[in-house]
Amino acid sequence: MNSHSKENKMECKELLLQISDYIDGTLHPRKQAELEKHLAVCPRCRTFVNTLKTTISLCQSLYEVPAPIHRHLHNILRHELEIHRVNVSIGVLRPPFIELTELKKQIRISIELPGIKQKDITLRVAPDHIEISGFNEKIEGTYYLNEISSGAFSRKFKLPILVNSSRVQATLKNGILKLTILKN
Amino acid sequence: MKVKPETGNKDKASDMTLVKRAKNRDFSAFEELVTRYEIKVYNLAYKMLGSQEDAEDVLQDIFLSAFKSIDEFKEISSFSTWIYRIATNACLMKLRSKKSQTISLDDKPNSLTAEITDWSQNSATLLDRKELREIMEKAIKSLPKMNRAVFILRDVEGLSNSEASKVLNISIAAVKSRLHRARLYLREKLSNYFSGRNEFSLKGK
Repeated sequence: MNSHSKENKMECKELLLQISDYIDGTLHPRKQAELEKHLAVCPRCRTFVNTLKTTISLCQSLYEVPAPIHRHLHNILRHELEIHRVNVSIGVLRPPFIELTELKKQIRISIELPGIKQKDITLRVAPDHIEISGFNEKIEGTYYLNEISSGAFSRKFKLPILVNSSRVQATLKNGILKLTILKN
Repeated sequence: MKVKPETGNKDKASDMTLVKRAKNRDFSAFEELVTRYEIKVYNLAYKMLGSQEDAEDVLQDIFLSAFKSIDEFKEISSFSTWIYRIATNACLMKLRSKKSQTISLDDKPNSLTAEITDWSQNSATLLDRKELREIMEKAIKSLPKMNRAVFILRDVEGLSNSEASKVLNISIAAVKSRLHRARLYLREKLSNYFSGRNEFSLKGK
């Protein structure tokens, strides 16, 4: 009854394909039942399954990992991270520096915007204040020194007198935006 | 026999809290993450690379790389999966550069007919044999890189099929198939050992 008939041989081949799932317990319950039925009558397959299970558990207990030198790793990382910290600006964006002077007939304003293109600047003149905003693009790369502000910036400042926005002249030259506002 | 996953009982919420702080350049938060995962990562590296020196080397690279790319960590998967992915990739790259001798697992299914002796016994006794240990390590080392990675992640480190597929960025079906091949191959090597057909000479290579 337990002779290794041709039918059994085919079942053995099929079992082989499903053996990993069987061992992991992820086989469909019906397939699992079929498989176990086969195992009950097939010593060869039983041996195969047992030896496969042993192989896996041997590999699990195989490794005696030599103790790593944790302290060494932390020192190295701390050292590398320290360098990184000093070089990387910690997300603080410096607002543009401004000079505001009142003259006899005009208000003169200078705004430092080094490296910023005119198209990236937005200027809003209200009767009693000015708002300057814009964007400084950052190139992708590995930064070793990263002190120049980047990203979006925005600053609002009050004017000492009321002005008319139509009387504003603006020129961007040498990285400085110069505004001249004629007094009313 | 169900292989039990070895996932530590990490409080996932606090891993994510640390990640958020690390993204804001809180270095102590990142260091804490390192402390939490360095043993796991080291173990994985040691098993993948087979040498302490290589494992120590790659450990630095892994955590430095993690720090530099922390902003790209989308927090969709767990930090554990993410660091395992960085670690596995680093190990695979190191293996590629070492050009180790690996065999190819053919498509031919294993023959069942050769097997009669059941050598499955209590593994504790089996492992006392230093020779057996060396054979097994050699056998694992001779697995093709991806099969080795899958085998170590799944069967040795206890990751699930789903976690392994995320770590390796391959389908679950690919994980299963590579695992299957690796397991059968290793079983065959052990089988040869027990029946005296030792292919891995312990002298020299």
